[in-house]
Amino acid sequence: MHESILILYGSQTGCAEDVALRIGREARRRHFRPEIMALDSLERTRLPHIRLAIFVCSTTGQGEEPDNMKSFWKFLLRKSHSSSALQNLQFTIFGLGDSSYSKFNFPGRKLYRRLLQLGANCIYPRGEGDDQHYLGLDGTLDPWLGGLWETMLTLYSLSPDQEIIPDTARPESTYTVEPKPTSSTPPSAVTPPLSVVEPPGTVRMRLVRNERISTPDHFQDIRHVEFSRDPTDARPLSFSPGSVASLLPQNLPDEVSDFLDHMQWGDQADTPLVIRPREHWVHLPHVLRGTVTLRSLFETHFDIYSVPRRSFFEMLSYFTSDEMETEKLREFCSAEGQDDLYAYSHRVRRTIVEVLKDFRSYAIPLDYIFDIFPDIRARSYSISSCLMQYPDQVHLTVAIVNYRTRMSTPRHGVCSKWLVTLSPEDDMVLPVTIKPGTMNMPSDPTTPLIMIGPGTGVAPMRSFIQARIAQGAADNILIFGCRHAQKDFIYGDEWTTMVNKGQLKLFTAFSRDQDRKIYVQHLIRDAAKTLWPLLNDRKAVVLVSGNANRMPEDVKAAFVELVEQIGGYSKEGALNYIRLMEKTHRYQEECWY
Amino acid sequence: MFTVNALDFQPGQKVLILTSSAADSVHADSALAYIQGKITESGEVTVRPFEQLNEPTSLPASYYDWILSQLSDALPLPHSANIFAQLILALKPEGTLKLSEISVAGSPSPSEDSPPVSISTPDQILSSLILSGFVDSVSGESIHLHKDELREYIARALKDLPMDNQALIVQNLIAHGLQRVQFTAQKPNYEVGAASALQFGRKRSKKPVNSSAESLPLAKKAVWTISADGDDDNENNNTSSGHGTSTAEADAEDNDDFIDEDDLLTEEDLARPDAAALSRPDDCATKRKACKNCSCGRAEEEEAQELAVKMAEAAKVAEETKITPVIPAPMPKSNCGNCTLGDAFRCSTCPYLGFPAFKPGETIQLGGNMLADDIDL
Repeated sequence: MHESILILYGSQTGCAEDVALRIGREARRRHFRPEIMALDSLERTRLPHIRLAIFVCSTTGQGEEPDNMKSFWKFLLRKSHSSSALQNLQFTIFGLGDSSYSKFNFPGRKLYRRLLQLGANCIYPRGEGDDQHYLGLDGTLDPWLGGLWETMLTLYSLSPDQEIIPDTARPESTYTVEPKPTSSTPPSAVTPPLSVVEPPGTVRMRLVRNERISTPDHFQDIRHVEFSRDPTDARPLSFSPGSVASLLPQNLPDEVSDFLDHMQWGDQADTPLVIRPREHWVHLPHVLRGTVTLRSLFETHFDIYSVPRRSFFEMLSYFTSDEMETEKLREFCSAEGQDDLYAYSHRVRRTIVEVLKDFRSYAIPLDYIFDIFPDIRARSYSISSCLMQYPDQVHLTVAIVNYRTRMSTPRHGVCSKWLVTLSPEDDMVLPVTIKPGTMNMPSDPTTPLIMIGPGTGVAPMRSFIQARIAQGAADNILIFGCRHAQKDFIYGDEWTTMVNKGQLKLFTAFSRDQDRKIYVQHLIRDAAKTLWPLLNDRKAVVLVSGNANRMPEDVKAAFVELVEQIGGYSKEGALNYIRLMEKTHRYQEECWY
Repeated sequence: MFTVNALDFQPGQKVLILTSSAADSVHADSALAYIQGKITESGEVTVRPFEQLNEPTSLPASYYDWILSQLSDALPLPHSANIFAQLILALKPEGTLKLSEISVAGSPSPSEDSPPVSISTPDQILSSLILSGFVDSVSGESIHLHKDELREYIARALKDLPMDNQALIVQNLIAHGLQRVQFTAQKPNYEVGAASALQFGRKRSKKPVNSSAESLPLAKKAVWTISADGDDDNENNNTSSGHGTSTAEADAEDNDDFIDEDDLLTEEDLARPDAAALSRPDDCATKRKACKNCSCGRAEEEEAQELAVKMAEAAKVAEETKITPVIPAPMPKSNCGNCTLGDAFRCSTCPYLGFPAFKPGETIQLGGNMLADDIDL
């Protein structure tokens, strides 16, 4: 048997992609011929001819589909498709989600329903991973995959001379990695171009400001970062308020040097490399199109300070010579080993570099570096400025991630760690990619705007407020919350000036400044009589932004209560009132973890 | 497996062929030609879609000598008791019904975890025939489904089922295997009930053989009607500088061409897993702290954890004061010999948990290596 199988993923943080790659490896061991790619990378003309596909689809934001399947999904939703358009397709789907969110696994479930509508045939029950499962994603993925292969081998049997290749056999690498044949140029410290092909919406920008705006004695470092368009970049800078900027962080050069030495790659760290995919469908990542060296790859491409996924341990197990180590790594990849793996890596946020210091008997051939090390992902931040007020500039408001676990050294966010090292004095020019956000302000300046943005959730609100004031819009209401008026009341001076000019109405909740904790949802209750006429008579738009943990639910509950108590609606009626606001984009949320 | 050749058609007989809409017209055509030859001009052969039997009284009563149901290569749809009741009415006394049906291969033990799908054992189909009034019911040839058919069958079965049953059903289907079985049954030589007296079976338009064959819903071809790379990117472009624009109007235009994705979700899709199903099976590990009378080692582990935190705090203080300290690690009696290894190999109570691996005899030291926190925050 040599059945072709497409494994198509929609992935935001790389988790679904990792699952797709794992399915690909398992398929290859069973003599299928897998092609693995993001849904948006699939050529659409192939769609009606695909016979067998496995979809892997994660959930992002409030039940939204990941960026790299958005255009495919939009395409699939067209009314003009016939109900037999995909009748040749046999498929199944695994969704990834978190059941603490109400729109659990919505993208995967919608994709499943739409594929059925278009005539595709589901040959194995869909599966769903849940972050709330005590074993995480693997709690359901493992049994699902077990059943999947059992079914697949019944439906597409192996030929008599074929046997399942055991999972202890090292798979082939995706690429070959070799030193560039030496021409006249001697190997030297090559600084590679950051990225040769940049995603659409990218503008090169100069860092002009990077300062802490929470007081030094506050537990958290909150940064105000300003970028200014680099004059040598001809691309115009244009975005609407509420847009999002993403930055591709880098690993720190000193740390990378130490790491390369530890891996005994120090002496070849600056040799230019030639990287070739082994199979035609593998796309070479953008970053690899220039001259690359091990040093440049580990500084700009490989996320070695991330917490390793299970696939990292699986790959590492192919390269250890010490039996005890190999056995331990395999145990981490087994169903029974998931508790141990979780305790070892995830719970304490142990990084890949730290794992590679714990284990000692490995030798990783260069060909495999792309299979074993994950890519650095861009981090997105809400833009906190508006072009009308700050032309050619992008401001970000960033909370620096820094905490302790049981590990002996503190944990840092990869992007945070990099960002704090950047100084305007270094004259850094960075690619900044700008995409539309999910929130939009009303087009009519006379429509009141109610903004709830505690903590750094205030970032997009700052951009909306600036735009509204530039438009001459008067009814701007900001409901802000933080811990202390004196420590993390970020942009407090700006708000005060606007309030004094009558441009802004401000409500603040300082949760730790008194015994009783006051949060933004309490302010909504207190201001109910002011808010109701705006909401009901003047059709105000409500925007909510901030940490996704409890806040969005609590705020929504406060609004439902408001509609019920001041508006005089029944409980059910009040829920429908807010639901209708959501449906008509008058109640919008943009929250993150 | 269109086995009409084996049947004893006589001139002047009337034959009804029921096919599912998925059936292949070529087979039907050759079978029709054969039957036509046997029953001659005085006979009559009619082809009707099997799915039409869902509308009752659509068949003439006591009319046919033969009913051949879904004998073509297409995967047969199930014959319900209701359908058998219609067929026996449509047959003349001593008329013959031949049909094929998917059934479970072998004879699985009754009851137990039989799949909640409308799939029966051959015996169950026979008894259903008998209960409908047929006599001399026998099962004939049986053929295991090949891969494509099995796939199609599973896809069909899964379409209408609640999610929570699906895994079990597929497992069962695959474990038991499926086969296509032919059955032959006869109407007794007397009428069923008073059916013949009532004469409600008006002769409905019996199309000539050729045109009725044509009328089969064929020509199903996948049409990917849209230009595959048509623009779908007329989404709100992010170049409208500065001015806030509501997407509401833009959406209204777009939505004419796209289905509303929220309508795709069923009631079932809105549900979330039950928290109880996600939590760890109940043991002491689900508790936040070790039990008072702990005997599993967790109490010791937690003590070690506290110690580790203390050591980490000490390290932090030392770091802030820019002194590179030697951690006052209690030199433990390393009975296991694993203390120097990484956390992956250390005991759960090891005081070195959280620290890097080290060489025997080496004192653990922070600072000077890449794991140290050397960033000013």
